Amino acid sequence: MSFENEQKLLHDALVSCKVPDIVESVNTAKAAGMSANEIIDEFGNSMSEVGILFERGKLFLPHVLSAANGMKKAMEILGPELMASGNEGASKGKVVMGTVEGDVHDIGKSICSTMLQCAGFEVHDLGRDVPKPEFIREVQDGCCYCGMSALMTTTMTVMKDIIEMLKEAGLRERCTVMVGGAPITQAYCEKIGADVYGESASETTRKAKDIADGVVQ
Amino acid sequence: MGLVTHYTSSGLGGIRTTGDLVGRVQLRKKTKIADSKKYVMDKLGIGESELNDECFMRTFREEHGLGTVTTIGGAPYGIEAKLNIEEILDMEIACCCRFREVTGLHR
Amino acid sequence: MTKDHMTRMGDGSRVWMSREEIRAEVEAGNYAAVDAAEVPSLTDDDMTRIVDIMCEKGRTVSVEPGEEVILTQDGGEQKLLMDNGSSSPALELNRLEGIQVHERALGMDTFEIAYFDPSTKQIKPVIGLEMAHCQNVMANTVIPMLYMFMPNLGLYYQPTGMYGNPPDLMRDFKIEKAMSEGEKAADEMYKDIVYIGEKILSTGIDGMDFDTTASAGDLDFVASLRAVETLRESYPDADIQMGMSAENVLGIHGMVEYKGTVAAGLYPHQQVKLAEMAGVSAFGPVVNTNTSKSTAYNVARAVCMVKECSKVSNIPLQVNMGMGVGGTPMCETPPIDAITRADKCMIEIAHVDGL
Repeated sequence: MSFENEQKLLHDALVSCKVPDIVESVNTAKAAGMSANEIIDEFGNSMSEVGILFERGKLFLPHVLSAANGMKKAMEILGPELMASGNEGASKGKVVMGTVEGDVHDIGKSICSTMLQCAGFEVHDLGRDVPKPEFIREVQDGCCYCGMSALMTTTMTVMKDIIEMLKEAGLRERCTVMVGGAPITQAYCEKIGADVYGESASETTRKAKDIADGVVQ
Repeated sequence: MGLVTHYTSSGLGGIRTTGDLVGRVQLRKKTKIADSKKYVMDKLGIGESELNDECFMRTFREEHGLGTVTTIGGAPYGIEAKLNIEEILDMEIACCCRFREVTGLHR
Repeated sequence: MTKDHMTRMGDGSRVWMSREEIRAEVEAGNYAAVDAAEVPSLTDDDMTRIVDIMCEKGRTVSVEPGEEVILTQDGGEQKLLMDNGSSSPALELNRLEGIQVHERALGMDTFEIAYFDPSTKQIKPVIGLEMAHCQNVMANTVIPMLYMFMPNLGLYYQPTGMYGNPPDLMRDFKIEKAMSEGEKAADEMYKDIVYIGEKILSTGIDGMDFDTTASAGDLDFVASLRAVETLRESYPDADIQMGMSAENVLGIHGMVEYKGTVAAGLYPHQQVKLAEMAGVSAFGPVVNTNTSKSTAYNVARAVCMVKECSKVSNIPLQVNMGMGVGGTPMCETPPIDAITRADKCMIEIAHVDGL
């Protein structure tokens, strides 16, 4: 069965970032017969678009959060159905995020944390100037993504230290290491043995989602 | 240093030529590059081809006491050169104004 | 198609491309700028010119004599010594020596003095030292000197500041609280900028440069514009530059306005109009380099955005051309082939007044 009209309604409501419209679109889609998982999938794609629109200056952070709040309300509506189907809308995974030791820049990292949260990840944002062992402890405690940010060429080297510490602790294979920030490049990501380089918050989120959804390894 | 690269690709040359003078006019008068250059050419009485001519401007700056890259014993430098730049550009310079104010000297 | 042109990727690595491939990259970069900033496309001739410049065989390229522009430097003397942002040559010079090297050896047209930790909040406690330094520099140099600082609203938020951190508050869906904390922090930063500005300008320095403006988003931008306006009232002849931190103003607040215009989401051609209204003397637009794209793509994208900015601006543009901006690759030692090509394209096609 095709739900083109409902999909468009869900998409438009989420991109409008208005909580009442989002809630109404969920109720309409449910009434038309869309499953909870189909609705969540549609919102997931639309949320990625919201992230890109934010980075391009077409939407602002309060809009992004309003859309995320709308999604939260939608999950409350869909909760019973998800529970009955055995899929309780589990998080896509736990992510530890932080700006590395010695670096106090955190706007970009915070935006990335927000987008990951909106995409369904459970985010443990440790803030800025985060001591190296704190990343290790979070991975030990179950985070399967380790996101590190640096804005300075003098602090980006800390990322490599943390990767080495993860290896020494036998935790490297347990998590996906994501790196980003102004001086970071794909080449640097490869050089230090990280898994994911995000040019922007939305790219990082997309790549993390692809891994969580099994689209890529 | 990237600055050397920028200078050789497109910089006017600072005190090697007229770069500082054009820069000063651009910032003070909020004029675009062509108008800033024209102002300097008019005030200095030089042609367009001389604006970026290191050899010509070395002599010109020395003769007018505008400060030069290499040392000339006793020639105006620092705020002394800027007092002369004020005159030739017919434009007040903040540190010269302050100098006069705190010393009681007059232009 | 012979890949006979050595060019670069946005991370500085070498790549060989054919002329046709470079043309395709230029067209893609142009399209990306038009799409993102909603600016007019470069003309076909503009794009051909960029391709010609990218394909020039020389190790470096340069503008024609007579087309030179003003060269300034927003990193201050610390670029040679040490700073709190990037690694540096770490030369054992004092600050005045560092400035004199820029004036006498590096051909700078104007220069920007900077404290080693140049954020507003960090300068305030050492303002007396900075004033004395400015007086010393002004007595001993010839070229125009501006005092560079970074507004950096981020430092006013917790944990380094006393105000709640808006992105953190928003993640807990405390949107109104996030907005009001941001507004209070911005008011505090505005007062601090005016405080340090009035002190610094009283030394007789030529002016000030607001560097990496809007690094913490729209509130950062608006507080900086308000500070320019206030300083302009006290110092009508001061040279006040404003350089941006990114190509668009991030909407962390989303609703804050400057003289009736919402600041969030503005691109260079829109930012410059607010800067003009505030009384800025020269504006420094930024266009970010995408490290995964080619230099041809990045240069075309940057030139397209800056060309429109230059067209609508009534004040001179001193565009940011350095590591990771203006089409220049993002690497610690940007290659001279890429820097000079980006410079030449920016001057010839976007008609900027300085770098």
